[in-house]
Formats: sequence, structure tokens, C-alpha cells
Amino acid sequence: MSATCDQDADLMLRVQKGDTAAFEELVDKYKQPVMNLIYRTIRDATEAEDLAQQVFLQVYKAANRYRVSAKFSTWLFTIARNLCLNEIRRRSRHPAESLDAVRPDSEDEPMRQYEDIRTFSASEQMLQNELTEKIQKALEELPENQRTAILLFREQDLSYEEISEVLKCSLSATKSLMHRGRETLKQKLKPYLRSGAWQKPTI
Amino acid sequence: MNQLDYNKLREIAWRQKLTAQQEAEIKAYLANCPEARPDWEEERILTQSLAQLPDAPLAFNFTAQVLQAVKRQEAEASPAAVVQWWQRLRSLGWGYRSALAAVVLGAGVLSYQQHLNLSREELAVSIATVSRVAALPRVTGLRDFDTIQHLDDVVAVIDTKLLAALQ
Repeated sequence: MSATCDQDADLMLRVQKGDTAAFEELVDKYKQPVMNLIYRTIRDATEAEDLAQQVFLQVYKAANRYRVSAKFSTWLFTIARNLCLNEIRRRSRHPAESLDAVRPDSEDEPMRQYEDIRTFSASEQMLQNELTEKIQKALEELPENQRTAILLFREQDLSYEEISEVLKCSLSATKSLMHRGRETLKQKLKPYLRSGAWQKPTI
Repeated sequence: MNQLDYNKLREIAWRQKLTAQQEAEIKAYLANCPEARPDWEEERILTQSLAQLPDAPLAFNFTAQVLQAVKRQEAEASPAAVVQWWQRLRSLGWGYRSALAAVVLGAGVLSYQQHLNLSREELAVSIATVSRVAALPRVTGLRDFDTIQHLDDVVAVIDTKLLAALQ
């Protein structure tokens, strides 16, 4: 078990004893990765934030069920994924457009303001925004399990084994999901990837 | 380096920066196998692009909100232990729920059976008590009941005849 894993397990053991400071530390550490996964799955900032909050609430409520033998991040992302799937199911039953949903064609100001810690020049910013939008759209169009596999692999340094645990499928199936997902992304983004406008080749 | 090694290095590059030695191996492979270069470039740019995706927007006071929600929920949940139990029950899998239902059903059947047994015992005790209070004579004792019943009549007739004879 890695040092990070040990550290998370220690924090969870403290949470089990009702230590709120330990819980706060875990929330601070994982809020962004959890939010990234949820936001890229449901594409609605407000609902993603609500869901992320629910994920941590569930972690707190179920702290007594956590066993040190399981890696905390695997457990956390399993909860996050389950909540996302529930939300997707709920949406399919009650389709409704959220006021906060990302609309690429919209020129309105975003309804919520967040601090932007990145700085780009205007042209870089435009290019970056375009790239981001294309990748996010391509990601959005992937099947849920392929998208989650790619995001978890990128986001949290989870191993194939741990991702397969979150996705509740075999190791070979997980690898296959990842390969197929990346192949689909490459196909969809081919004109952009081939143009070389975004990146400088290194080799 | 063969195709298999190339695929392995490609997968490593999905997650981390290749070492100088690994980069040199890839470079040599691509020099020998130029048709793999477009794929390598696509892979590399896709990996970089995914890594550069900006973080999702997150409220600056997210942690405080979570902690507040925890406190709120604790305050709401403490008097409603039944709700908590129900939520726990709902969070169980189907297997556990079925097992729990079977246990509850079994306990119900068992207690009903015990209730029946108890009722029967009480009934038996009642009958025994009644039978002790109003004890019936033994059957052998009742065998000459009719003879004894008519004995008075016979004795009366004999007494009348005896009196007449004496007079």
C-alpha cells in the first residue's frame, strides 16, 4: 500500500472516530478530482457540485463501513460513479434542461462565477477553449464506462486493477474499455490531433 | 523493440512522462517503423490534451458547505433513528434484504407457533382443573346403579307383606 493510501486510510480511521478535521482534510484533497469526474459525466456545474457534496456526505455516513484493506480513492470514486449513474438514470426518466448546463452556442455570461487561476493570452485562450470544448464534447459522447475509465486513469493515478474495481468489471475488460475509448477519441479528434496546431512534437 | 514493447511504452506514456531511455527506444522504433509515427503523434497529443483539460468549476467554499451539510444532517438524523434504520435497510443489497425478510418471517412464524402451543397448554390446564373439581364416579361403581335405584321399592313391598302376615 502506498504512502498516500496509508495517509488516506489513517484519515478515514480518524473519521470513523468522529474526527471532523480529518474529514475536512479528505474533502480538500479529493474535492477537485471528484468534481472533475462528476462534471465531465453529467456536464452541469450546479448538479455536479450537489452530487460531489453528496459523495462526501455518503463517505462520512458510511465511514464505519470503510475497511483499510480497500484503497480510499477506489472506494470514493465507486461512490461518485454510482451517484452519477443514478443521476443519469433519473435524467433519462425525467428529462429536463438545467439552467446551468453548458451550452456551447450560448454567448451569455455564465450564471456562476468561479475564480480562474489559469492565465492565457487572448489567442491562446481561444485555442485552449476550442480544444477543451472539442475534447469535452468527444468525452461526453463516449459510453459512460469508457469515459470513466479514461478519466480515472488520467485523474487519480488509479491502476487498471483499481479502475476495474470502480467499474465492477474484469481487468481485461477495463483495458479494453480504455483502448476503445481512446481510439474513439482519436477518431473524433483526428483533424485537430493531426493539425499539430495545439501541440509541439517532442520526438 | 517490437510492436509489443511499443504498445507497452505507449500505455506508460498515457500516464507519465517517458524517461530519456524510453524516449530513445521510441525514437529508434519510429525510425525503423515510420508508419507508426502518425499513431504515436495522435496518442501523444491526445494524452497531453486530456492532461490539460481544465478543472471543473468548484465553489471556493465547497469544503465548508460539505461540513455544514454533515452537521445539518447529523442534527436532523439524531432524533429520527427509525429513518436512519430505514435508510440503512435500503442501502443493503437484495441478498441481505431477502435474508433479513426471511429472518423476520421465520421469527413471526415461530412466535405464532409458540402462541398456539401456549394456548393449547392453557386449555389443557383448564380442562384438568374442571375435571378435578367435578370428579365423576368410576364406571364399575355405576354398574348396579339401576338395581340399587329400585331397591327402595322392593323393600317397601316386602315390608307391607310382612306387616300383614304379623297381623
